Amino acid sequence: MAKTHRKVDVVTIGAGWTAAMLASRLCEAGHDMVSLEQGPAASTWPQYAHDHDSLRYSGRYALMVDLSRESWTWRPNARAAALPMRQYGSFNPGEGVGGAAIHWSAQLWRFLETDFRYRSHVVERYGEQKLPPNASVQDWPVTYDELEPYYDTFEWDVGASGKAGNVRGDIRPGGNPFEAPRSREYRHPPLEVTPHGARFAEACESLGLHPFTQPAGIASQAFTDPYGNFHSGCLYCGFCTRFGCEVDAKSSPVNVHLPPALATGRYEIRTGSKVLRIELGGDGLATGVTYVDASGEEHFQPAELVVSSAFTLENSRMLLLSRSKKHPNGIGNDRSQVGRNYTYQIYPQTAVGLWEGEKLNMYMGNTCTIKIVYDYNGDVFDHSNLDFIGGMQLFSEPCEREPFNSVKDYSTADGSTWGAAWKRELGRNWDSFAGINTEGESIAYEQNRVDLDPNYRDRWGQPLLRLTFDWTENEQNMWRFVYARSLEIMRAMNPTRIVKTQPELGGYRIDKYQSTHPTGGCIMGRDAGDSVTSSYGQVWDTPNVFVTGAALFPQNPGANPTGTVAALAYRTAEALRDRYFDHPGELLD
Amino acid sequence: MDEHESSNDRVTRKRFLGQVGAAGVALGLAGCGGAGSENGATPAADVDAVAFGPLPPRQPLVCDTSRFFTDDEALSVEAFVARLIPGSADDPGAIEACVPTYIDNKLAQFATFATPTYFHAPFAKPTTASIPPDQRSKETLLVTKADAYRYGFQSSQTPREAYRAGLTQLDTYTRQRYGLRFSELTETQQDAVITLLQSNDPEGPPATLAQPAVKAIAAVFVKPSAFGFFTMLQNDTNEGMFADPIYGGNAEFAGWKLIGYPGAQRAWTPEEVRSGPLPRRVQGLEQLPPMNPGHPAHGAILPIAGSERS
Repeated sequence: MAKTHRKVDVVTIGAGWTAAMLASRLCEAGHDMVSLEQGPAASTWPQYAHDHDSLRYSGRYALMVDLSRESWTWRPNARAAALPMRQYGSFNPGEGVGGAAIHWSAQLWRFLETDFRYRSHVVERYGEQKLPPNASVQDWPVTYDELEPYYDTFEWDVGASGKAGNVRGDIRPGGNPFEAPRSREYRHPPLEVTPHGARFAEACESLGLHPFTQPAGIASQAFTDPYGNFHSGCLYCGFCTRFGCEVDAKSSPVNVHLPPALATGRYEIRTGSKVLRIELGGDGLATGVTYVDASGEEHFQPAELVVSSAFTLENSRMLLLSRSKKHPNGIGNDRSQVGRNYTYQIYPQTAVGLWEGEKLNMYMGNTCTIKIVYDYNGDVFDHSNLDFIGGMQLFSEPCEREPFNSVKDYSTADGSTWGAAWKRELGRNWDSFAGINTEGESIAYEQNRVDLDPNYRDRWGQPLLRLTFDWTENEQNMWRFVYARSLEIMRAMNPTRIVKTQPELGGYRIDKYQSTHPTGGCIMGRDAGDSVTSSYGQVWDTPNVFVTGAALFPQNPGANPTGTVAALAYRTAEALRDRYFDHPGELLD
Repeated sequence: MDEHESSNDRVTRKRFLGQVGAAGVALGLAGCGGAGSENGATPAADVDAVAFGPLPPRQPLVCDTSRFFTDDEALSVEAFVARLIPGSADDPGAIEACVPTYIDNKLAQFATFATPTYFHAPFAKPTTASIPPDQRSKETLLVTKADAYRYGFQSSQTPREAYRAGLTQLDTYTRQRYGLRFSELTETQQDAVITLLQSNDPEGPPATLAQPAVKAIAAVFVKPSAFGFFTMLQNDTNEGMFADPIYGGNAEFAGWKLIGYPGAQRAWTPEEVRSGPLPRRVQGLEQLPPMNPGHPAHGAILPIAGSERS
């Protein structure tokens, strides 16, 4: 018999960043809220005061979901076997208070205006026949202009660093000239850039491209945020992605939204609490969630409103696992929409160069101390005579290089990664080689989706989520085009030699890290016929259940998701606070 | 070291490498547990106690491999890693950096895996036959052999099992081909064997995979696979050579000195990010001072990089 708790206004699955954003707004307005977090507690001090341990955090994934309890299965297509990701590869979901937003890289983007009207834009500019076979891309139910104020608030809340490229149509040097218009400059100037980034930028300029410094959710200077939290400026320590920040320069839920939320006294986080399912009443609405605590005891937390704010993939699984007579296929799935439009991101390095005798300081800084070009991203370049749609960012290899997992990236001219000659060269060249990286968009296809796996279960006996996903001809063609452009840049960087190249994208593989940006599965849309939720993340067929995060993205642009995840969550929080509770259980306009 | 010395007496169970200050390689401490101090073992999470306390007494550096490996296994591992990163007293390599100690520690500490691992059946069985649709099984799922590498780690062996079985296979193979154990081969022969293991890379050129010698070693390495065994040894060797000394390897910062890495620092100045580091002493986690000593309160935090402290 489950232990039943006092009913609250809002319960969230997970205590990651979107939950903290909702709490900072809803609890202040008088609502009581509980977040159920499967991982441990987190705080800047003392947890992150001693965290420069590469092996523990990067090698052994100290901040990630414990795969011994649960994982995700994958197959390239519906005819192949689905096998679990047994050890970390493709993506790194975090666990514990703050979720993946503790160990994120803080690359902070807004999506392009065309990203929000993807299908319409392609059809208008190139015609319907330009869409690849089986493409299920669609427009977002929200425009860039509607989201701009929320992007702006979030970026200033976290003290973002960068240089605006477009302020209300005014194109400014040093910024991204292709970005959508923003209402004002960044809160802080851009972060420093290492020599490799500077050389990349110089080469890009010589080719007529438009390099700029990565916009970051990392403060380049000390400041106090609007909630009263003090943040130090970045110390460029070299331990950022996969680490917590010990001086609160890298923004996170722990140092931005949780302090004001907890200060209200109306927000509670229960750690070590694994949600099994959302419970449903006879009327088809949610009544709360059932979870197990660390000792294995089962609990029921009743709530007026349930928010599935876990990692992208877990949100799809939660909806599919929550069934009743009214929703026999799961919440949001009355019209077989859950699991559709699972998308990801293209991430490999195109080429690695060696500059003998030069030191690139690659072990300093972080993933944002780099230079980027957007000239080949989205639809900022003409695709009329190209055999694909979509694009990619190109950027100088991120810094914060760690020795134990980077030495194998160096190979001698004959390809060796061990032995006397390799060792001798590595000694000279470990800080003299670096690559050009990509982050490319992933459009949605009918065949790429997620559902429940028939063979594998988690520690609590529930089916794992199964990913069916592979790249298609469109992405292969896009890769070849961008690869050729990146080689032009690499040659302009004049390396002593090119250490390696990747001319072909190849098939998707789950064993190599390629960003923690799986998206889709519970996508937002205009109506129940094309999506799981409305633009607020409100589930069409169960309107007192909301979904937050990148599971809502109809397809995935070539940029990190956090800025857009935050803008959507701010907008949803405002609608919940100002309108929802007047007519609970009804769809928001 | 020339080829005539590459026999059993080349390596010993415990190698005394002289007097050093790095206490993290002290005998018998858990791999991730950290260093000895005057108060005994100190967990890694408590490095400030070490950093601000008196330095532990200097003691002989002992590269121990007796916590997990048998004597025979240790000989093979030492011979193997010595070829991956060769060294000498003047130019330390894997042996001089106590890489075998790192591996021995890791295997002794973790009964299963050092990294989070989903280790439940059904396990994959690669096949060249066609795959039946909608497979349901509690034991085995068939997977297309050519695609198997795309799924990443799918072994049903723990690292302990993979080392034990892999080292046995290694000697089985070298006895077949040379009539000797791996550790008894010349360095040239050892390099040739390691190259054949690596040549079984499923992503390598099909022509290489089709070579008779490559297929011959693959036939002996049933589980772990030839390439899987090579990859495990190479990754563990790189971890042992280049991870922090508190884990038992990288003795006297041999790996970091080789590549010019100054170790974990608290901060780099913007000028250093642009133009390169000012001189700093190489330091490990033990020497790294805490960032926020004792206070969670708001206020400006002045970083101490560590190397400035005398």
